[in-house]
Amino acid sequence: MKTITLTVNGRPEKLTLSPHRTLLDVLREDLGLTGAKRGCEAGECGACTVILNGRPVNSCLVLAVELDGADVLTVEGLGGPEGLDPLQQSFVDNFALQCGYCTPGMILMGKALLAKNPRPSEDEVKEFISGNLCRCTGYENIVKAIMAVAAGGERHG
Amino acid sequence: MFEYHEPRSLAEVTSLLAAHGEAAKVLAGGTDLLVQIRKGRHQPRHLLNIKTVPGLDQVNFAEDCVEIGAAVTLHDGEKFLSAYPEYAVLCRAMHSVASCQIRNRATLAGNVCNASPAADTVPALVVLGANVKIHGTHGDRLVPVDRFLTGPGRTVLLTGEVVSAIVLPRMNGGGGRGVFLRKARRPSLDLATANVAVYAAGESCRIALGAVGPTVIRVREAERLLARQGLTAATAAEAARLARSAAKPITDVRGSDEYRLDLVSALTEQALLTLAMEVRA
Repeated sequence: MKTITLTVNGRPEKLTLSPHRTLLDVLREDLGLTGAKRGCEAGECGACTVILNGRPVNSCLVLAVELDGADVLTVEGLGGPEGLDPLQQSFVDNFALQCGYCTPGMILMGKALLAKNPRPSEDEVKEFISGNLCRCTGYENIVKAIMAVAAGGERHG
Repeated sequence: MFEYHEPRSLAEVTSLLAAHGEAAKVLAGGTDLLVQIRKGRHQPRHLLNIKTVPGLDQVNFAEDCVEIGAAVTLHDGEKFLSAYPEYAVLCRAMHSVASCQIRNRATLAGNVCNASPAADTVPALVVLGANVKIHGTHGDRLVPVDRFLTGPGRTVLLTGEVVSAIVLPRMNGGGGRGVFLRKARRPSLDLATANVAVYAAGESCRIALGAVGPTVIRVREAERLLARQGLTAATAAEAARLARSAAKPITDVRGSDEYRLDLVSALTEQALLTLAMEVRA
């Protein structure tokens, strides 16, 4: 067992862990954060995507014991009492989800992309989310939802 | 179930590897190893996280070489090298691996050490003349990437040895340019059905093929032809024919051997024609 401290959605957490457990296990089972979904467990579906130290990763492929001092953002860390994050709202407005299983991963990929490239082209959006599978939407509305926030940023910026 | 180690030096890594032999595995990005462990293909009793060794996450530019530490991710490697057009062939190959999320964890050294016949970075490293830097109890040794790989999943690494860096030669003033092309069933996440890297500096040209043999294949006969007669539409077509006869593909879920031969020929010709335009530009 190893004890680590890390920050999850802005909150410090201290955890004592067996080394084989993944970040996904710990988020879902120890911290009750079930936004990140268990999909393929092989890094192929993107449903477990979280932002680790500012970068999207597959949380099923990260050992939690490696994360002493790390900063993790899950979909639960978006938005707040005042309402949804603009990208979450855009997914609602653009009907960018049906079953919702891929949605947390898709939204976090959108956040990560817009953070480093506020005005991506449609092709850049498609390439960036190509590690995330969606069985429902055919991707069209997901791309639209991300592009809408990018365009909104331009209008206000 | 494994014991987890956070070594603080390469010496500590090699002594742990020497002590535990086959029961120890090196953990770099983990994007392949953790999947293999989950599937039961590896059951290590000791996992050595080399990301805790200071300096392994650095890219060091020396006078005659660039050392990419064994813990440098594909994302960071691409970012570091993107300012150098002579390494564009490797940047393209690194960007072709898997997905954004994987590239944020997976390392360049790990892509080589996995020794997958389809590894995208390998043909690019081979045409650049890259070496693998190996640290053992008796010091360091350098092995060219194509000699490092001995078969699917097999390398020349001995018990107690660890890869500490991938070493690229400096292409000082050579003006060398390269092109990497791959074909897969879908652009992201799938392994390449075939991939090709070509590199030209001055009169010399190198061609390497991936996913069409147990390890990467240099097409030396075509390289000699291009050195003799220069790169033209006619020699590119002849080089593509020679690449086709050098390839030894298998039939699997990604494609038949015949389809792979056609791919190798088409990708090689296209890569050389693109290279000809880049060299002229």
